[in-house]
Amino acid sequence: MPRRSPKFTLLFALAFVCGDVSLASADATLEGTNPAQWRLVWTTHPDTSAALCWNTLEAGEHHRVLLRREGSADETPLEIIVEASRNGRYSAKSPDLYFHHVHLSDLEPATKYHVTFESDGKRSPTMFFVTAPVDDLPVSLLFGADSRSGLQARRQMNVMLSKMFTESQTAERAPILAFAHGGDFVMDGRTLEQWSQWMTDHELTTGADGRLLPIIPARGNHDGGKLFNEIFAFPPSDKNYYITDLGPQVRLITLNTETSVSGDQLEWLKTELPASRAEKRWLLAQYHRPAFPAVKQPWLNLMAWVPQFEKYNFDLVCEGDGHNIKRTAPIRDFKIDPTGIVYIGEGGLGVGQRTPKNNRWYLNSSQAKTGQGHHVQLLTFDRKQLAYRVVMLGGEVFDEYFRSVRTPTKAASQP
Amino acid sequence: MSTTSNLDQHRLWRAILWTLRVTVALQCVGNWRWLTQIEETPLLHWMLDPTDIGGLAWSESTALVVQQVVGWWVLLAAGLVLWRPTVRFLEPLALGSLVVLQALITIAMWRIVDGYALQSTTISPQLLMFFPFATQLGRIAAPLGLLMLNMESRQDERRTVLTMRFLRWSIAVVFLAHGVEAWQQNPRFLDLLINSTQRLFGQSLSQSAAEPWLTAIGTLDIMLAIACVSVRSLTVLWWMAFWGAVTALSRLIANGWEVSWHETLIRSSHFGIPLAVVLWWHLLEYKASNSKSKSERLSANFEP
Repeated sequence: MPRRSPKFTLLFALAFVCGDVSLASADATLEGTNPAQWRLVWTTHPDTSAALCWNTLEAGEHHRVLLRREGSADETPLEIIVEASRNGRYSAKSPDLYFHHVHLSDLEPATKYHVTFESDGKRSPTMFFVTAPVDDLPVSLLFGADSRSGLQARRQMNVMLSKMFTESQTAERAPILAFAHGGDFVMDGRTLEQWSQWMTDHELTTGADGRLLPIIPARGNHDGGKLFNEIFAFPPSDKNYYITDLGPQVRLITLNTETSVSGDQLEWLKTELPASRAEKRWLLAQYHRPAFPAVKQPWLNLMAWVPQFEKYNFDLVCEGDGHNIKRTAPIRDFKIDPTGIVYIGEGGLGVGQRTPKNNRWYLNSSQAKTGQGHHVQLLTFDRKQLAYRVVMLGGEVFDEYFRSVRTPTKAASQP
Repeated sequence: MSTTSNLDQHRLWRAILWTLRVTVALQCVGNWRWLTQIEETPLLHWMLDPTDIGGLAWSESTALVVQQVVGWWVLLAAGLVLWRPTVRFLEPLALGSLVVLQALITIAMWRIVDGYALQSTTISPQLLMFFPFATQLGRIAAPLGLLMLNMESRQDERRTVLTMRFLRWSIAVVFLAHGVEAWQQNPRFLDLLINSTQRLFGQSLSQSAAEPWLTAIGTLDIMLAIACVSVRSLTVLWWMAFWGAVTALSRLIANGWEVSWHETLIRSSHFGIPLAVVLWWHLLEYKASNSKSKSERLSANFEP
């Protein structure tokens, strides 16, 4: 059996009890063509590609990012200039706001890139990001959902994410690579005013050292409309389901509960899963509406996706929407089964919390745990085990769960 | 008014009233399960959401108690509508409260941004916000129509004609809204089509095969909506009643009895209203054919 690590729990608790989870006030000013509301989006191949997005209040004419790979000659501080591939006014009546997207490709894996956003000569502070590794090293991922209300708490959570992100980069820790957001970013996805506030708040996830936290977005039921794709640099008609590899052994599949779950998406999933399971040590999914909810009713994905999760032995499935903290007992074929799938999440990035219905069969078990409170899930992967921790606003670790590698893979068996 | 009292005696008239009564009662039973057993309703979420995003910011326990009380009252209302107690104010009270409830559910859908899953590229977000008022109109119209017809004894025939006209336009709006959603490839409808096909025929329908079907269904819905208010065709109304029943039942077929029986009952107005209207038209035809003088023909009061 994998062993718990009380030292880790203590580390986190101390860091946040002693630390200040007050609000940062470093939001960039949104005026003229001043670059603001920046996002680093990861979808496929985060080892070699990324999308950099920012906004300006005025349309401007010339938008680009200035990029410098760590290790470049110091005398050429900004050696790569990448023009924005897509600029435009957001598809909303008001407010006037313009998006700019740069799609980076052919990046070096596990490499630090310094980045400055520039619009009509006005520059953002220089920040940096690190591409995903290709070496089989321990890595971590943050998962959270439901930031559509409770804006004060949302900002506090973002500050906490930033601290966790920064602190995880120390040598003895498994570094957090990215933040998977399971949807319901805002109350009404068709209202740009709400998105604008979310994007301003998202700046708070940037580390104090200027490190950008990559976001892996899933669409929630409140995120309808065209703005989602404009904000996260997806093609206009994209359906928002995709694969993200966080290193060579961790695969996160982002699914979309707001498009057909039984049609093309299911066919795509069936096509992708055989290779995913065979090649990756850790296989996960994230999406918004839960198949095994703690409060609400199961969504249509229960019948469409769960058989695939079970057939291909997913290691963890992350869900949102319910506004509580949930970890189910391992489930297979609608029964508790030690070989089954554990479903976690339900969302607490700001939203008010609901009371979990613990009398449901998959929650009414010593192998399950539920609760309430603003939180984020921290998932850590190494060669032997997957560690799941729920970190509350303030740093307390509410729940821990560990599971061993379930499927030996070719890569995993290599020395 | 003599004409109304004449209608009162006819079995078709009684059939119209009982069609609406059963429709409302079925809707009540569906709502009862939704409110008291399933619990997750737009109404609950509206009560729970904070005020800064349009909610009422009630505590979870208060909201759940209120919803339980409402849910059990709805079940009692179903009994009152069918039983028709001699205490005269009880039935109007039941129907009036059901109208208010359905209106509140619709307002809740609008407030919490629910009830329109379509990712429309052609309909403006401002218009989309009001989509629940169109899709839910039949559920408000059924108890409201019955309430208006029940008051007829103190009114003239004009109220009956207006009520039937209101019901006809209501169901036209419902079909139009659903037709637009189908045209826009609402993913929920796509899944209904794919899953129903799988369950009925054991054959999986691909999304690329389902999409043209949905477009055709949407087109037909829109044409039926237009025909319903522009031509006097019994066939159109009978087809709407049939199709309303099929689409309500599709929830049951696609998702199974345990999950979705209440969803089918909640949509009883989608077949109950066209059925009531078509019976009314049959009644008008019957009366017209039996009229002795041309001036007495009710068809004069009929639109179009």
